[in-house]
Amino acid sequence: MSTDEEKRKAMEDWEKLKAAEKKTLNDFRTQLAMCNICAFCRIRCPVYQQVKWESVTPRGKMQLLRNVVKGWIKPTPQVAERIFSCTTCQICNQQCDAEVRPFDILKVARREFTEQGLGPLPEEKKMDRRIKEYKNPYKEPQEKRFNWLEVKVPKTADTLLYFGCVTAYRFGETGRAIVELLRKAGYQFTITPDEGCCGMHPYWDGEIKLSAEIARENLEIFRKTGAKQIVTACAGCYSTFKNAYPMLVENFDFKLMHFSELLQELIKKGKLKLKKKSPMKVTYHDPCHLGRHAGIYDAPREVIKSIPGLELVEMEHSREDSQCCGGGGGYFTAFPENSVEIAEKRIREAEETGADAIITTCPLCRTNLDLAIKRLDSKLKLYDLSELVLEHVV
Amino acid sequence: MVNSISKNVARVQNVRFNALLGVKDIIIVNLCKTDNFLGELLMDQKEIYEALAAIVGEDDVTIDPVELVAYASDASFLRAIPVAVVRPESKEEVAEILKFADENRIPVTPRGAGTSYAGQSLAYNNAILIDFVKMDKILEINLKDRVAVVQPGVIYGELNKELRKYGYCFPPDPGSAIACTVGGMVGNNASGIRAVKYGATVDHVLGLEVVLPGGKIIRTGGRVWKSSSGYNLTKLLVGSEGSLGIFTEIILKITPAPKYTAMIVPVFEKYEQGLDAATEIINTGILPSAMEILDDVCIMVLNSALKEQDRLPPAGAVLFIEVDGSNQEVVKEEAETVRKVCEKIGVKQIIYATDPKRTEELWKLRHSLANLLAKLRGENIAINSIQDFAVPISHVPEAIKEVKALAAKYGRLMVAFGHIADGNVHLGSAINVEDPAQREMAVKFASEAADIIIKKHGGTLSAEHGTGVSKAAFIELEHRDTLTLMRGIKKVFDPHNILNPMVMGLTEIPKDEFVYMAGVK
Repeated sequence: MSTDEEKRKAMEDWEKLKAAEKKTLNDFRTQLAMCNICAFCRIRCPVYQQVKWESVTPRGKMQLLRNVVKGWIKPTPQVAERIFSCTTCQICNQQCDAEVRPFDILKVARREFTEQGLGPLPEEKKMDRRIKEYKNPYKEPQEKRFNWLEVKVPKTADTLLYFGCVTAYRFGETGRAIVELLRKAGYQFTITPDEGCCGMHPYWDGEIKLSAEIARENLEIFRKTGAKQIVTACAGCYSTFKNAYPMLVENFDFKLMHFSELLQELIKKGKLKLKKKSPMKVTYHDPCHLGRHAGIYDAPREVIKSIPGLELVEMEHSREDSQCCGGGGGYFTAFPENSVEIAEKRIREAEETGADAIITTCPLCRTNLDLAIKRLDSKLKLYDLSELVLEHVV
Repeated sequence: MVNSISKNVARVQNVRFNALLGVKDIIIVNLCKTDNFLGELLMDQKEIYEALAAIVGEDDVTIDPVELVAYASDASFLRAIPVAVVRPESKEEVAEILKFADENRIPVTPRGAGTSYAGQSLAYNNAILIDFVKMDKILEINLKDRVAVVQPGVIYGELNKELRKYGYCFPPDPGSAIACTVGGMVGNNASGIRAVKYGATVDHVLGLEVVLPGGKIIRTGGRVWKSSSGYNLTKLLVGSEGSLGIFTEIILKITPAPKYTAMIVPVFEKYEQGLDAATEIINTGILPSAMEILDDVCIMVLNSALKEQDRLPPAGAVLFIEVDGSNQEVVKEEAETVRKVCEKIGVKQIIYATDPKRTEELWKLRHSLANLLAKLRGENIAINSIQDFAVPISHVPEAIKEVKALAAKYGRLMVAFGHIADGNVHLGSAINVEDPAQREMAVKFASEAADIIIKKHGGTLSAEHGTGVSKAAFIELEHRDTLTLMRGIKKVFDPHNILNPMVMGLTEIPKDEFVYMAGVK
C-alpha cells in the first residue's frame, strides 16, 4: 500500500472481510460435539488413506479442534500440522451424515491458526511469500507468463481468458490449445498481460489478508479489460473466483465460466466441429475444485462424449464421489511425497477402467497425475481437455 | 463422582500431557485400581515407545500427544488417551507386542476403525492401543470351501465388495458397514439389519488365529463348517471385546448373495400400527431379510436430510422391510403378502422397490439415521447403556412402550428404531452432562430401563454393539449367575489382566465408578 488512503481502504476492506467470514471456531462448538466418530469420513479421506494415522482423518481433526475449543488442549504447531494436512478435496462434507461438515470447520480453523501464527506450514508459507512477491508461486518473471502466446489478442473484450499460474508457466501447450480453439470458433476474447496468481493458495492457507489483497488487485486488472465474463483454464482459479472472491472483494460481478463449459457451448452451437481420429477409451478425473467445490460435472463429460470415436468410461469414484489427486490445498507443497502417492492411487483406479487415457480440466491435478504416471510407468496418456479437443477439431 | 483413586490416575495422565501439550484440564475417563493393575504408568512412556519401535519400527509407533488425543475417542461418549499407539503388520509383531506388554503389565486394547458405541476400542489406564490399519489384507477367497480368510483390519464394506464379484457376501451388515473392520465386528459380535435372516457375526466365523498375552499364537476352529469337537473356543472369542486374545486372522463362512430382493416401506399414522404390522408380518411365517422400524422423531430427522419431493409424510412409524431369495416369484409373493398385511392395518403411504439402485438408496437412508440423530443430540451426550437392547420378539412392542413411557416420566425425548424382527431395538436419548440434575436423572433412568429390559422382559442390554465399558455397570444384572465364571475364563486366558481389562465388567470396579461411566460422563 503506497498511500494513507489506500491503507485506510485496506483496513476497511479487512474489517468487511472479517465480518463476511465472521465465523470462528467457537461458533462450531455444536457441530464439533456432533461428530459421531463414525469413520465414514475416514474411509474416503485421501490424506488418511495415505498416512493412516488417526489425527489426519477429518474425525480426528474434529476431535483435536473440539479439545482446542473447549480449552482442553492448546493450539500448538503440532495440532496445526494436522489441520493443514488436508487437500481441501471436501469429500468429508459429503461423507458426513451427521452434517458436521468437517471441511467447513477446517477452513475456519486454518484461518484462525494462521491468524495466531501457527499456520500455514513452513513450505506453504514460503509459497505464499513467493506469490506475494512474484504474483506466481514459481518466482517466474511476469514478462515470461505468456511466453507461449503466439497471437495478438485485443486489449479489451467481453470475455477475459484467465489461465492461472500453473497453465501459464508450466503448461503453455494447454494455453496455446485454448487460444487456438477459441480462434477456430471465432470467439472474441482478451488476455491481460498483468494476470497474476488468483490467490487460491494463500486463501486455503488462511492468509486471508494476502488473498484479499490479491483479489483487490485482480479485480482492478480485470476491470481494465472491459470484460463482463471470465473464462478460466484452471479448476482451482475457477473455484477461487466463484467461492472466495465474493467474500474477499465487493462487487465481484463477473460471469464465470470454466473453459470446459465454454467448450461445451461452442460445440453445441456448431462453432467447433470435431472429427474422428483413432478410437480411444478415455476416463475423466473430476478435479475437486471444479466438482465438489463448484458443481461442474457434466460439461467436461459432454465435451468428451461429443468427440467421435471416443468412449468415455467412468472410474469407480467419479462426479460427486470422485477421489482427489492429492494435489490441492497446499498439500502438494507441504507433503510432496504423500501427495504423489495419492495421485498414484487415482492412476491405478483409472487403469482399472481399461482406459487408454485420463482427461482432466485442472493443471494442478495434471501435474500430480503426470508425476504419478511416470512413477508407475503407466501406459495411460494424460490430457487436458482442451488439448484433447484440439487434436480432434476440424 | 470420580473417586480418589481415579482422580490420582487422571493426575498422572494430566501431568504427562500438561508437559507435552499444554493441556489445561483434559477430560479423560480413567478407571480405578484393581487387584492386579494399578492403572498407572509402570514404565516410562519413552521406554514403552522404544520397546515398541524395536518391534514394529519407528514409523509405526507413536507417543506424540496430538496423535494420542486423536485416538482417545470412539463412537461412545467415553474418552481415554493411550500411552502409545502401535501399528503392527504381522502376527509375529502382534505376538512381540503382547509379550512385552504382558511382561511389563501394560494393558493393551485392540482397535479396528474405532466405530464402537460402548467404549471397547479405547485404551484406558495408559494402555497401548493396537491399530490394525496395516493388517488389512483379504488373504483368500475360496469358493470351493466357501470361506474367506482375512486379516482383522479389513473394512467390512470392502470385503463384501470383493465377495460380491463372485456372487457371495458376508451378511451381518452393521450400520457402520462402510467403515468398520472385520476384526472389530468379530470382537463385538456385531450385526445389523440382516441378522434376522442371516445371523450375527458369530454365525459366520469358522476359525481364528489369536495371539495370547505372552505372545503365544493359537488357532481355533478352522475351515470346516461344522465341528462338535471340544469346546467351541472360536465362538467364545467372538464378542470377547479384546479381553481374551487378539485376532490376527479370521476365517469366515461366506454366503451366496441373494439374487432377488424386494423392499417395502410402509408409513403408518401411529407408532402402534407399525408395531402391529411387524408382529403380523412375522406371524405370516415369512422370514424377512430385514425389518426395521423408525418412530415419528426418526422420520422427522430423516426428512431433514431429504429433498422435499423425497420426504416421507409426517407419521408415527415407518418400516423398512426387505424380502430376498433366489426365486423371483417367491420373493414377489412374499413382498405381496407383506404389502397386504400393511394395507390391512392401514398405511399412509407405501414405497415398493425391486430396482437394486432404489433399494440401495433406501438402505443408505436408513443407515444414515444413527448419524443424522446427532442433529438432535447437539452438544448433549447420548446415554449409551440403553442404546442397544434386545428382548424376545413377542415382547418388543411392550418393551418399547414401557421404556418410552419411562422416558416420558423423566421428561426425556426418546427416539426408537431398530431391527424389530429379531427383537433388537435402539433407543436414543441424550443429556447435558454439565447439569448435575440431568446426570442424576440419567443414572436413574438407565437403571430403571435396564430393569424393564432385563428383569421384566428377559432381554439383553447389548444385542450388537457390545457391552464395552458404557454398559459394564449392568453386566451383573444380566449375568448374575455367570459373571464369576466369565471372570475366571478371563483369568485363564489373561492371567495378568492386560487385555482390555475394563470391558464387560470383567474387572471389578466400585459402584460409584460404574455409575460415573454407565450413566453418562
